[in-house]
Amino acid sequence: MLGIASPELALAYVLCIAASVLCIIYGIVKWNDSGPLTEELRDLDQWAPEGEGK
Amino acid sequence: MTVKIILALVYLAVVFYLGYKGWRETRQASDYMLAGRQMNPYVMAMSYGATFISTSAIIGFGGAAALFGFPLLWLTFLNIFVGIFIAMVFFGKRTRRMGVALDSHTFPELLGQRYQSRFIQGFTGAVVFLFIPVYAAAVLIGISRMLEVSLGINYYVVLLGFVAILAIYVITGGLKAVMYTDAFQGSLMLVMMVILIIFTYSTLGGVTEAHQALTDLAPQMPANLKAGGMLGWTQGAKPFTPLWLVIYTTIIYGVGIGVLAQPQLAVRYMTVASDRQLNRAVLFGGIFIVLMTGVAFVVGALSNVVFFRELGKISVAVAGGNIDKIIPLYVTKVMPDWFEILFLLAMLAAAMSTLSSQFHVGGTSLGRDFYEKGLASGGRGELRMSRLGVGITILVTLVWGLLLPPSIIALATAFFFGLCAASFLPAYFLGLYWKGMTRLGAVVSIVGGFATSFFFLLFVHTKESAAIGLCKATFGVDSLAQSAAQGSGWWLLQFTDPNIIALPVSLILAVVVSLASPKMDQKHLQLCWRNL
Repeated sequence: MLGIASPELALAYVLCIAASVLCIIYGIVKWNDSGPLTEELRDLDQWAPEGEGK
Repeated sequence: MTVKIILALVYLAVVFYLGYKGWRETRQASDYMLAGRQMNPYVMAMSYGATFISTSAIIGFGGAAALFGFPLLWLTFLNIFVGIFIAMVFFGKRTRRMGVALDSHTFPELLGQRYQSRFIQGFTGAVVFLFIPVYAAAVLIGISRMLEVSLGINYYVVLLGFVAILAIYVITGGLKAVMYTDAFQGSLMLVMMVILIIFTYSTLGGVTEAHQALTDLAPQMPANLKAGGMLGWTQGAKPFTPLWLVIYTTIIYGVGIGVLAQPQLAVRYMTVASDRQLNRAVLFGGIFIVLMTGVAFVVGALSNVVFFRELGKISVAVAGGNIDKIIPLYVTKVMPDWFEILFLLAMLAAAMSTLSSQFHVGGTSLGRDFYEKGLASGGRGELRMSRLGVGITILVTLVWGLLLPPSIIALATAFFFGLCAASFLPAYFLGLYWKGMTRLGAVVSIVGGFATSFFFLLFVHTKESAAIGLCKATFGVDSLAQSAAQGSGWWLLQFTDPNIIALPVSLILAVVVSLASPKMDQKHLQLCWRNL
């Protein structure tokens, strides 16, 4: 396949491209998925029970 | 020559401007160590990628691809899938959140606080500080030799000048300066690699045609490589032969998995403000890495076809047996003249981006982790201590740079990656995912993994043990595995990466000791998991 003699190495070649495509798709799908902001995570401190905050 | 020097000066001017920008924006310890936790996703991804990919990945491993061929593409696959996807999605997000919950500023500090152990922070910091200068020195030697040949400047002048430039912006500007310059340097590398792959495939008539020509070149594979188990560049190696073990255990497994526990990379997860930046960094990183190691390995392997057509010899013969010369020779002899200048700048960029991060992580490990926390010397003047730490790391690297031989580049890279994986990966991964992981489990895993890896490096894995010489001095042989029956499992250990043994040992110790030791305080675990 693709002029590569070993099927295992042809698979490696295809997987390199597939892994890149996976990263691109993941990045696009999750482009605006922010989760909690660092600022918000820090602000939790002031609401933490005594002895639990830093 | 004049054009080369002018372009190099323009490049340095941009680097200095970005270093100055980093310095201007650095006001407190969190700016210096974590770039204020507000880094842009493109800068974060390019900085991660450019730190990950040094000149050794392109020149050293690209040269190795000219020798071994397409099996190295498995390393590219792991670089993308493990080094970017798994790293950002499964390690990055938790590291950021736990890092905020524990107010950690460095990778050793995250481990130390997760396990409430000053020993873990101090030991981890000491390992990073002691060994990263060796890895950094290897990168420094490689680029200095290259500039010496290309610009005709004295090696020692290059070495000192290079260190002085890096010292100015890393010591003053901290991680902001490091990441801004990394992003610029990464972008330059990206452009260069795109041109390289398009040129190479079009020279050979297309993708399939190029690969087919390499397949047809198999009879030219040198006899010593065939004896070691190689079948051809696109045919791979016979399983469980010495060369198969070198390719699959040291190059692919050692470096491919080792990336997950690299302190200079892990700290970058804590530089962003939300998961959004990490999600976007997955996209940028996935493109960046395939264009770095993917292109370097494909071009390295295909250089055999180009050289054979033009000079009647395969790459390793053209380079006189020195595989580190293959990629530079390919650029000089095959690529257009203008590309040689771009390549030189890109290699300068690759070296500087890796070195700046190595200096930074070595310095913060010494200043904050080992000195302030490990030795409990208090937290006053933490910014000054980290700056001093960076200065000391740079000096130690310079000393190593003057002492180490030039052929050490790939060896030192694999050495540091392997040591970090065996020592830190189980404690880091289980620390993020398993509440049952205990302080004692982490201590035994880190020390046990480090000791096992080091024992194999000193006494079993011939590549390092022969170079270090302690095994020869103590037992009269280069490796203890040499005395076993040829072809047996023990005998093959001398070609097997230390991490094949050390990483599972470290993982088993982590799990078994954690199950048998007192659990960690429930309140502390709640704090660790608060943001997850």
